[in-house]
Amino acid sequence: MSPDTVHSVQSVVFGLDPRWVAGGLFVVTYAVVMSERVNRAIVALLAAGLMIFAGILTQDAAIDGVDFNTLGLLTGMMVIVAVTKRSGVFQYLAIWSAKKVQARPWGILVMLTLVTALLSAFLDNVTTVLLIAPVTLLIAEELRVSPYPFLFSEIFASNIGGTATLIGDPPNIMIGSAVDLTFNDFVMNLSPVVLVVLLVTLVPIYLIWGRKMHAEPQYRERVMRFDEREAITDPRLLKQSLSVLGLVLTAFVLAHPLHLEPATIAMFGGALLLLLANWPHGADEQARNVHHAFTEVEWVTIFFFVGLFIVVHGLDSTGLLRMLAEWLAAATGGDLTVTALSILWVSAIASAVVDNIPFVATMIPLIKSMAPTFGGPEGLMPLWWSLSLGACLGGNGTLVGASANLIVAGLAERAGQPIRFVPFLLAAFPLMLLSIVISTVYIYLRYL
Amino acid sequence: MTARQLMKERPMVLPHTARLRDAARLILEHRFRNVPVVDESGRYLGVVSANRLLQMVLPKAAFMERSGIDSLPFVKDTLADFRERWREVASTPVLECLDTDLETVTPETSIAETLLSLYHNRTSLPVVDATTMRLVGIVSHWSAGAAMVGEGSP
Repeated sequence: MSPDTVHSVQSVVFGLDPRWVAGGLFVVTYAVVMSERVNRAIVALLAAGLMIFAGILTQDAAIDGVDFNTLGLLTGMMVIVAVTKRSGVFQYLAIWSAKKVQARPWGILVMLTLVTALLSAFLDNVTTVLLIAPVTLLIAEELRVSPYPFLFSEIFASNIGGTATLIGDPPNIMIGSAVDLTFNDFVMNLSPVVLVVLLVTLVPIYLIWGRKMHAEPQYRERVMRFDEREAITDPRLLKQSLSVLGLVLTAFVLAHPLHLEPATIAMFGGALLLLLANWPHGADEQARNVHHAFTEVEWVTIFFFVGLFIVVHGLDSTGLLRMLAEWLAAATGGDLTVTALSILWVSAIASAVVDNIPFVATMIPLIKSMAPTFGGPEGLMPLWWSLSLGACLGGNGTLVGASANLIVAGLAERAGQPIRFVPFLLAAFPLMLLSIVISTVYIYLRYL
Repeated sequence: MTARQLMKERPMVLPHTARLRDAARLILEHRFRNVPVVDESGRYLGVVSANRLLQMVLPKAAFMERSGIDSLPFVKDTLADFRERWREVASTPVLECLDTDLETVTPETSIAETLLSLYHNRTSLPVVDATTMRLVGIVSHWSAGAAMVGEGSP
């Protein structure tokens, strides 16, 4: 998002106050996205167009509002994963970890939870669960055990793991990009608490399901017979993918001294991997492979972002968010502790119910406007970490809290093991609250 | 000239109360690719296909779109494991494994349309009476082929 408010045209139709036009448009957009009656990308793009038609933004101002750093990072990583997964490396990893624990169900659950958390720290959460959940279903079917606890833990692990890094979850990408926080900033500030949350979450999961898990020896034997090496379908591609992933991660760590933005690194990595995987092939096959890699990009999410950035920028440019920020600062008496913990809890509850992407997109300019109250941008750091922890971890609260949850539910449904809204809620919401309690203690002790 | 000339009348069918093992017996005995299932008044309900039986003994994860598990080179289950799976699913009612998305024709459908539907199905084509919805015949690649190369009536 561009820095301070760009005061653009603002000669709004019908002589209405631009703040109320933009605010109304924003509320309607939010409501329609929440109703899920119309695809969210369509809603956001229409609303963005209306912001321009209404005279709140010019097209140039609208494009200024689009954070191409976020979009480039997301797209680049999606391309890298699309190519990498064809090597079979993720199935290898899942089978390897199941065999490491002699195919004992609880051991597998712990291993797959850790693998999911680790992968989702570096990859998109939806991608991670799409890679791990199918192998999980396969292993659970071979073991003749219910896949439910495994999938439940993987949902949690994907949202928890994604919180740890700049690239793990869209809210972090957006916050990092808007506030110029580096990959290392996120790792240093969030990964300690993320690790604690992950390990503590496994305790209730053990008490609810783990202690009763049992698989017959002959079925465990089937899983032990799996040959993970044969899951690697393309060893050459595997080497190329892992090299590029390694380079990209190194570049993220060194981004600050190298003066590189995340989008540059991810897009360059994506292009490099496409080059390595394609250069020996003819033009036709190259075109087919590249086309295929690009079709795996979640374009609905990308265009939703584009529309949303414009809508929020329109709202921001009217000064309405600054008014709201001043009002909030007055309500909390300018107290940093109260503000940070309110942001943490409100973000968590909100993200359990609505998509955390629009929520965070709105909160970013709002929090930025609080800078004068807390002594400049430096003073806002506790608020950014609260926003990230609340928005990312809150997604665990309900089945609709994060896209990864819905994806897992969809896969489980097709495997004949549906995950229902209310039973999920009864276990997930208290567990989500537990993670926010841990985050509260962490934020309080470390930053307040 | 219509579907009636291509079809085999009074085809072998399964009652709607049948189980998968009944379907497997008919399919193996007659080398069918599918068997139609009818209700007590002979109305067509769908088919149980040989491919569907295969699907029943394979891991479900291999049949989910976007799952990425489109090959199973790492799974080393033995024939004994698959026999055990088959024993477990053999008493599943055929109604739970019905393919209902096959194209069907009526006895009055033109020959060209019938052949095209057979081509689309890639497996035998049920011929269903338009008013009673009863199954009246089956057009297989063999019955249609025999009619076409003129080796007597099917």
